[in-house]
Amino acid sequence: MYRFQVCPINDLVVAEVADSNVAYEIKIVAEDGDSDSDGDRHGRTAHVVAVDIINFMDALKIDKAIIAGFDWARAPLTSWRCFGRNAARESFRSAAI
Amino acid sequence: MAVLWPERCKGIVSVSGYLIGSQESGKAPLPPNAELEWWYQFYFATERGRAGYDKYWYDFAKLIWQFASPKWNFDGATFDRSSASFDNPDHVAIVIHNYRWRQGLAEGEPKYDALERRLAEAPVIRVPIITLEGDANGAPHPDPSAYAKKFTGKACSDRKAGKAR
Repeated sequence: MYRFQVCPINDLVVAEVADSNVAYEIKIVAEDGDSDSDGDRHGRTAHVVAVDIINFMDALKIDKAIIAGFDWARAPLTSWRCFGRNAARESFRSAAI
Repeated sequence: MAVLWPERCKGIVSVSGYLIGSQESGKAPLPPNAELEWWYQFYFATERGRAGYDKYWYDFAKLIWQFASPKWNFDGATFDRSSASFDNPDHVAIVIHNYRWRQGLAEGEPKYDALERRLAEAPVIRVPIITLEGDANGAPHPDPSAYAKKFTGKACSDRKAGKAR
């Protein structure tokens, strides 16, 4: 998820958010829940990230996308958070996507 | 995404295939050698584990990189670029919650319960999918044959996608 690439169905590549900031901000929000909240922190990040992606696609008016997920080569959209962004990026490269 | 909003997915590319966890699936014991790979899950279930991660998160994460990465020979600078993102006041609590939730030792975030119930049914995925599995995956992961029937759309897989660097 670190390398977040959005490919609308009717174009080869219309929007590519290929590097850190956008996806990484998604990650931070996912970890933090409501960003200013002092409430409990929770680890159900897959749900948060998925909802964020839908909102992100809505904001860019993207109806459909190809979604790629990984974590070392493990749990897509779940515990990649635990290992950090460069791990995710390296894993992405190693997967030769 | 592919389960909850398939109409928004043209297709998915999923490393290690079908990996939707649930508290129910987390109850199932594994053979001892597989449980060994999950040692930190048991560690995190204890207060000692929480305190240990709080104290040693940097060394802990580096150890996991060494065990679970696809045989990366990373240097300190590479690790430090990522580990900087762990250095925040929420990190330990989030990690501990995640692993305790898997074992049914912590409740989920209530506002996602409805989504969780749908995922917990482990539904089939109908959108086109490419699955990838590395040949040097150091982390616990299922054999591709274990999830092949979870995909009912167009599917293909590549077993050698992630070679060791």
